Amino acid sequence: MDVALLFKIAGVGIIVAVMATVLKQAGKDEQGQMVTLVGVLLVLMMVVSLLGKFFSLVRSTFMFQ
Amino acid sequence: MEVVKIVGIGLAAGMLISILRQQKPELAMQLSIAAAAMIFLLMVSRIMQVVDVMQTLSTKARVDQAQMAAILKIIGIAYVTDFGSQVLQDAGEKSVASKVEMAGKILIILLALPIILAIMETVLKLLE
Amino acid sequence: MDRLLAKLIGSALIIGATTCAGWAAAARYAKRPAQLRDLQTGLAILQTEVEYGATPLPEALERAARAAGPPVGAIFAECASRLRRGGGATAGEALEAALDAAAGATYLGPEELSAMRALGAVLGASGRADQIRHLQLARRRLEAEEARARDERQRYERMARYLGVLSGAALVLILV
Repeated sequence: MDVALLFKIAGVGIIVAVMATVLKQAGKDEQGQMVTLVGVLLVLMMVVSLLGKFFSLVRSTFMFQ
Repeated sequence: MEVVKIVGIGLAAGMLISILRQQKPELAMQLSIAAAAMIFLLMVSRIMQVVDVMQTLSTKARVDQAQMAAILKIIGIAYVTDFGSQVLQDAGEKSVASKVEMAGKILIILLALPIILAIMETVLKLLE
Repeated sequence: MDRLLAKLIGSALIIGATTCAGWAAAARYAKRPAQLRDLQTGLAILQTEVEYGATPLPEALERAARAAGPPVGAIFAECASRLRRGGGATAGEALEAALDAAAGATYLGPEELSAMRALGAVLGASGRADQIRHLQLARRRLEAEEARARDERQRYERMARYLGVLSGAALVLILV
């Protein structure tokens, strides 16, 4: 669980944004939207495990929510 | 210095989030969730220390342990509700944020009811 | 420290690979219009030779090869050498074989290759006026294809390059 995850998410986000722009400029807007969607899902996967840990810790810290 | 690390993470995340928000707001939201979760995870051991101290003090002061647990849970609900609400507001979803806050308030009231009743009983007894 | 080094080398390899793939695709978009133009030049020379000279086919093909320049000229040159070798191959068969042999080294695609094959069917076989007509037709088809290739180039060359680097970076972020 380290800080690298934050930069990974940010990196993926920025790359996806640039890719979507490039594709849009080349006229392939639908591919751009697809890339965006894939990026969001990927980041979601990365975040979900983190969130799971977070919520279980909250539960245990504040005594069993 | 732990606080420097945490503040550093917060600032870095903030900068990245503001960059992302212009291009892909949905990813900015995820990044802010991740940053908040990460900071909490880093602080968890400290939080547990505080909770432990509170519990020792409360046992020493002979406070009802069930009520102590309820109070702790209320603090937890408040924290999580605030976390969710803030993230949602940052993402522009103020209506969802207010619904989340409302849910938190209801749950807190539910948990607080026994304590409130106990207080009222004590007061009534005093008045007798 | 070792794991970090391994990660760095792996990342560099991944990004390098995707970037090269992107550049290769971009090069294809970039070079195709020029090669289509070369092909047209070759056919123009061929047409001139047929129309105004009595040049035998192999020699005309060699002149076309020189005019078109590598790599497209290799098609004409190969066709010429097959005809010279003899063995009773028709011009059409020689052209087919030449296309199979030499077109792989070019960025020519199915559209123009089929135009060339259609040309091969009549080359050296029918009357002069007929050949000239077919050459003219082939040149027009190539011209249209060249315009399309230029348009594609403008739209997709930059995109291919960027996508190459970006997908490499994305893969690195996800996997490493």
